[in-house]
Amino acid sequence: MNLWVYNLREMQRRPGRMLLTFLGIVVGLAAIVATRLTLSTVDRAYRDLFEGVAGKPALEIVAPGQSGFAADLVSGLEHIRGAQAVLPRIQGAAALVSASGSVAVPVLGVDRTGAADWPVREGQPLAREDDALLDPGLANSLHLRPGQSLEIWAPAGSFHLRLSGILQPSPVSAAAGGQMIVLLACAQRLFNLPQRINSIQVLLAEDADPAAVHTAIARCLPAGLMVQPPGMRGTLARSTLLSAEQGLSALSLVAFLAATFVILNTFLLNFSERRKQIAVLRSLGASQRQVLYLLLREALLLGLAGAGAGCISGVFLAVGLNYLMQKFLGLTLPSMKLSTSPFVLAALLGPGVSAAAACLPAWHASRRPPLRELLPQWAHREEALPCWPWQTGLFLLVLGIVGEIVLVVGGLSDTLRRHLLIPVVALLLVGGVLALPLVFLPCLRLLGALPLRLEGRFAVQQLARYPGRTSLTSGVLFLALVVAIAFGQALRATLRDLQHWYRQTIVADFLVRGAMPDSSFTLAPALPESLAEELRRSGAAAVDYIAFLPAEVETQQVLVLARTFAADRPLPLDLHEGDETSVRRGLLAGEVVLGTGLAQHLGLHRGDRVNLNTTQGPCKLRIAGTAVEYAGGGLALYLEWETARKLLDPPGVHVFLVSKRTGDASLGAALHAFCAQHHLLLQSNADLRSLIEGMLNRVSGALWGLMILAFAVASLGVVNTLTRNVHDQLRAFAVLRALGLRGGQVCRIVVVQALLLAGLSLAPGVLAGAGMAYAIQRASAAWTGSPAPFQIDFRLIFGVCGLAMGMAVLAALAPARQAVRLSVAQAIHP
Amino acid sequence: MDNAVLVAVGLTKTYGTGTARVEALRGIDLTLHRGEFVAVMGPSGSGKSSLLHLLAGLDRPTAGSIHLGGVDLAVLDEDQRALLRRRHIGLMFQSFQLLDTLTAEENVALPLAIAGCSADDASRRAARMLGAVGLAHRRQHRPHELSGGEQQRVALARALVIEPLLLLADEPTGNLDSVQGDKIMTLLRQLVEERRQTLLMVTHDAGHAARADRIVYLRDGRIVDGQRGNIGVPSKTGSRGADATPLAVRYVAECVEWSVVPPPCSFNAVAFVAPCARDALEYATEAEEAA
Repeated sequence: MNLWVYNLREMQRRPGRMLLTFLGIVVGLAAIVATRLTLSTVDRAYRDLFEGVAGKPALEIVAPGQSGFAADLVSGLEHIRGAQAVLPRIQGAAALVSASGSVAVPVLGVDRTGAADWPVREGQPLAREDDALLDPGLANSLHLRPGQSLEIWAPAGSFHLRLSGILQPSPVSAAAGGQMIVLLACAQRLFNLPQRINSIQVLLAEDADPAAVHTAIARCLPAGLMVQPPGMRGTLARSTLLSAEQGLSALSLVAFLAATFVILNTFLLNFSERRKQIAVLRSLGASQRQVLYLLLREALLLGLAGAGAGCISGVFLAVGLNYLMQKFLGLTLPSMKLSTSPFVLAALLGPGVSAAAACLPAWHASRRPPLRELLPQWAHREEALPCWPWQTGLFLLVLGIVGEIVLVVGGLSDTLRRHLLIPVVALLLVGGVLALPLVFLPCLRLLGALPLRLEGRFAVQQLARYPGRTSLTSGVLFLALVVAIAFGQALRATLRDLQHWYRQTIVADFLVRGAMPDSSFTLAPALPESLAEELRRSGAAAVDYIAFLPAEVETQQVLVLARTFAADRPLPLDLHEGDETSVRRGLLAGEVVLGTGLAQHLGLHRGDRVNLNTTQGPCKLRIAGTAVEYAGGGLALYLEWETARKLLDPPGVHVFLVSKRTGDASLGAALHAFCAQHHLLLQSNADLRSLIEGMLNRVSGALWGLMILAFAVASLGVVNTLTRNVHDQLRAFAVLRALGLRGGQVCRIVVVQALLLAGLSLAPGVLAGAGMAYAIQRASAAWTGSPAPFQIDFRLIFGVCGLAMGMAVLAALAPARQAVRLSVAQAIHP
Repeated sequence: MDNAVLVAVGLTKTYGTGTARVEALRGIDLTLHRGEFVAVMGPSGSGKSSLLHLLAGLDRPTAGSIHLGGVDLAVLDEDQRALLRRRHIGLMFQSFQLLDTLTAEENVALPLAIAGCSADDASRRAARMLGAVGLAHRRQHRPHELSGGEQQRVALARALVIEPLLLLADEPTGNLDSVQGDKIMTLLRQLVEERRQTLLMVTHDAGHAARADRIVYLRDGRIVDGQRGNIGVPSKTGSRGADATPLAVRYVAECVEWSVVPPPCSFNAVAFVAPCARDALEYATEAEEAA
């Protein structure tokens, strides 16, 4: 016999409660592990998309908008000290036609000497000008074998290439989701860049100083060209994920906080139940420290087990999240890399949080004089709630509110705001839970003074008798309410705004493209502009077109939406600043319309000037207006097509927007035939909307699922508390039953307790939730630029309140049954 | 005094303040010698349990000193008193206070585990102690699988396993029927006689108290009789003195006096006194005959 036996037996004694605590830890940690793994996978996918196709050079030289520049620049850079090799490249995206539809593929054009760096696993290396190499994953998924013909759409038109070989698998190529390598001459043909290239890769010598080489290269470059690390071009794509990243991080934080409060509540109940037992240990000679360690050991054991299970569950959850993100982004994500940091974090957080949550109850339990628990007159006496929790709560709440005010009105940078949002949310949530007794204990006292029926009086008395237990349970429900209201409101507002935005901006009847791009438009295959004429010949009333071009404004990576604007149709922009006539006039005169996110980020308004890095060098453009834009995470600007042609030289068109004449029913069939013949992707407006709505529904479904999970965890806390309350009341119930109380009345006493627990957290939960929703909307507007006015979503609030009450009643059923079925004789004479 | 295991001088314990102030003990002087079996009796509220708790180091006196093996408990802090209990004091409770998740053997081994004994050693010593109280065959049973008497024997084994200087028993037969209570008392008596275990027992049962070497009567926080061993000085054989019978009867009479609540309560004093007095008399007579 050693004391571990005691610990293990005690843990086995209450399997339900231990399971609840264990699940709390597992859910919290799984959320953290999954979020981190998913975000790092997505981040890596975008970074490797460029590093992968570039073969991991140290620096790259590119022009804004992926436009081309003279290939002879390479020879001028070879002499630069520290540059080991200077390699001409063409990078772009093409639509690879396959039996199951076209897919967007990154294409890398390399010179003949550089082709040797791409060893083949099967087939032949690049030799002929029309040869192409494919990644094994991509080739397998499209059932392609060396020697087969490949049909691709590129800016210069449709081409047939020969698949000469399959590349060796490499982590980099896998991360890019599959790539195609061709000779430089072939790429020049595909991308319509005769004698030109659109990228130079610079490999550094081992002893070279990257900063010095960077400076030396920058000095030699003509106006309009930029030197940067290759992963830089992924910055814009990654910035589009900020909202998703913030949402996931906030939800994982909430799951973790909920878990912490559940653990705290469980240990409070557990140690309170074991007071007598702990007193016996003390009377047998166990010191305070020994008792403290004994109890903390249980928490640590649970934490360790929870961390293990949380890590495993986190990996499975990450697989699901990766799948969702893949669907959401329209990008093939690389296989998940199980980096050590999320697991180390979970391994530290699991036992750490569990021990931290158990620390206070364990400390109290170990300090309680043993005699107090051994004497029968103290058996059911609950101590008054100490002041320090609500004092700490108030302090944290004040800090959180100050943080919220700073976020909403303070002049902070975007980065700082982003970093501050999660800590502020955490402060408000923790502070709110700890300060909750300030609201509901007076409410309980008020209720106790009302002429309630017997069931109500007993329920109020029981809750008031154990303020610590009641506070924490209400706290977990409060947490669930705040999260559901705050995030639900923010989510629904964003969805409404998104719907409004795409109804306003996607007005064409049909869309024609080479293949579906990813959601950040990083991998968008371009088509020749000349296709517009052919589409018009199909009977279209108007054909507009858009190109998505990466560019730089000041030092910020942005997405330029270069498009035509038909004069006889409404302006397809969700304008925020400026009216339609002046904006249209401005765009035709070479001005820009900034996305609200970008405008907010740069602090610019209509009439200001913005510095765009163009192929001719920096160019100051007047802002004709601002418009809500979600592409590029809001960091986007609109240019009229002809202006863009002059400034950024777009490689081609990414989407053709085809409008039909009123009442013309034949255009759809004609376009269908045209696209089928040319292996192009045709989407009707309805198809695209249902695609977007399906994607949004999946995202919102996943978020609602997580919120219901938060309520489920909170309900488990209610079950826990009610079970303990029923246990404490058994004798009182037995006496009441002996005096003639009916089973239904006993059941009502328990259910009323549950309803009170939920009901008392409703008002503060709704208030705090609405406040936090406001803060989230205002703070996130800083980077999404969404100017939607804040509106209280009453349907959501009523729904969430109903859900909370319903869950509380459900949680009361099992404890109520236990109370009804008690043996009166046994309860009176245990 | 060389033989004294415990010396308490001027023990005073006060609870509460102002009008709620209650003086539970008022200047108790008590000495327990090695191998002595002392019973503490008195009506409810007389301070019996308070005295036991002070002697066990579960509480601190308001004034006075308690020397156990030469160490003054009154000046020790909570943890130091716990250490002292771990090494020198065995405790038995009226409601046994066994941990119901542990088996009988594990319960007995618990104080050893707390003291840092190896698991093997603790189990071996616990098994031996269970054998000594006649429960070797019930080692692997949990408390709820044992009768009340068996549970109290496990509690006794748990108290003895550390080989304490002083064994304190708080109404050890209070929750047992008379047969089981007698068995426990026999065990305790044997213990005192065979091992020279010092034992202080709080009881309401005059019959069981009569098996002690000395009875200490408490009333209103004071020792009203027995400090000098009116019932007889402890002997090697643990037999009672000649005046045991009248004292026992007197005690029962006092119990009645203290317990009877004022009229119009329908308490039947005779019905209460008779069995207790009969038990005390019978036992005292048997003890005299044995002597």
